[in-house]
Amino acid sequence: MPTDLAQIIGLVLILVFGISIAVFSGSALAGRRPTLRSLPGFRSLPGQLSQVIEEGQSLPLSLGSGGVGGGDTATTLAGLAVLEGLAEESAATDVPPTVTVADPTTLVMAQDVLRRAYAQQGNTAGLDFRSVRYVAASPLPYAAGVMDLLSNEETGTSVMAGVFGSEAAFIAEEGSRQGLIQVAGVADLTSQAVLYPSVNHLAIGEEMYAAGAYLSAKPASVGSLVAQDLIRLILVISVLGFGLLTLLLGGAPR
Amino acid sequence: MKRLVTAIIPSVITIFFLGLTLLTYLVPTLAVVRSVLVELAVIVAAFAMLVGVVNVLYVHGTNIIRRRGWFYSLVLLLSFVGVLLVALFDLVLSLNRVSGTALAQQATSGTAMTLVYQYILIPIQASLTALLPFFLAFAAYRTLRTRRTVGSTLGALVFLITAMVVLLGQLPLSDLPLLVSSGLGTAREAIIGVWAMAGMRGILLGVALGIIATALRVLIGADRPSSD
Repeated sequence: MPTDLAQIIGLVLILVFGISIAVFSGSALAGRRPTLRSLPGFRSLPGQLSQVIEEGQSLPLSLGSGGVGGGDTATTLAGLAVLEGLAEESAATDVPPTVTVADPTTLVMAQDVLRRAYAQQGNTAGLDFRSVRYVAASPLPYAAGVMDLLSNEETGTSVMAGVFGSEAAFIAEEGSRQGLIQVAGVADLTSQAVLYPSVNHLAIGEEMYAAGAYLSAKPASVGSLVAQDLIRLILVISVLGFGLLTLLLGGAPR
Repeated sequence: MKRLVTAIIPSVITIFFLGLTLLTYLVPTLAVVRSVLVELAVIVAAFAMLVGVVNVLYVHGTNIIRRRGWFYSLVLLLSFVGVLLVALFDLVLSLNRVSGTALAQQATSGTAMTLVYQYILIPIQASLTALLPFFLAFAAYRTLRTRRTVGSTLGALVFLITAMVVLLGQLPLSDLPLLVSSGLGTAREAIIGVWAMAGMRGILLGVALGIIATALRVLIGADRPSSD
């Protein structure tokens, strides 16, 4: 059993978090939908997808260089949640998004997400596996490949959701040059900094992991987002409380 | 029966191994189990790489056949075949280890694949990286031109002023009065050490919560990324 204080705190946090997600998901399942905080990029994405589809174009979705099985798994799964939200509408209209990946495990997962969406619509014959493209095995060549795709693809919108580093600047710059509306969700601090000047809507930090709640509105995603906000509030109050306590006890940092 | 195979069994396997991996962090004696699981994941990922290669050949082969963006696709496929041949050449050389001088030279100056990396791939990637500051400068300039609302213009101004102060504070500006140069240095330290650091920690805290939430959704079976 865990004996270290940090392990015990971690275990308690996981338990509280898990119970909160279960409770809020159950509440959402019962029909009590909370008001989600505003995330304009992801909220407007379904509308932009509809517009792209109406014009017979494809929506480029870059999932970045992360893979499933390592430290990037959660961020990659959040990117795949964005794909899942878009795939449902795409499958209904038979215009799949053009998904680019830089890790073979993500390739397989993304193909599976598309396959499931098409199967749910009873349209498995309409699925073209070329919709998901393994562009390169490392970030910079991947960015170069996506830039080429954006310059050739006839579209009005570009979405980036997943693991990116500074190479995201190249993709965003190409998108700006093509005059695309760009929506990005990234967790890495470097990519957030380089994307800020270029993209129209940027979801930073934990907003990236909330994308599923906006796009698919599944009770689990909505419940998880509410639990996430609650735990964050508790952490913020704790940090402020401990900071104040330290000041009052005369242990202020120099 | 189909649901059992495509939905229930994959979910149970995922939840079991995710729970087991989490347990290995809480019970240190189970760490060996985690290393075995990681090794298994690496083997599975290697098979995924084969799917990736087939995808590259399929996508770019189709581009060439349909004459849509065919030139770069052709270059990519030729490069693919070229690098594959180089790798096979390396393999043959390493099989004939008795061949003396050539192999000794090969061993000291690096294999053919290393040469490909050292003299083709790394210089190309370095050149692309060198372009990054120019891309960022242009993006920042465009930000100032295109932001239209009051909030976004203010944001862009803060972005620009902060960037200027941090850049100027880092330069050895000996010609400026001491008050200005030391003031810039202090402002830079305050921006990086206090404001930026606080923001970064806040964002990282949020990212950590997002990661935990994503993992917990899979663990309690609310999200099933690998099953129907």
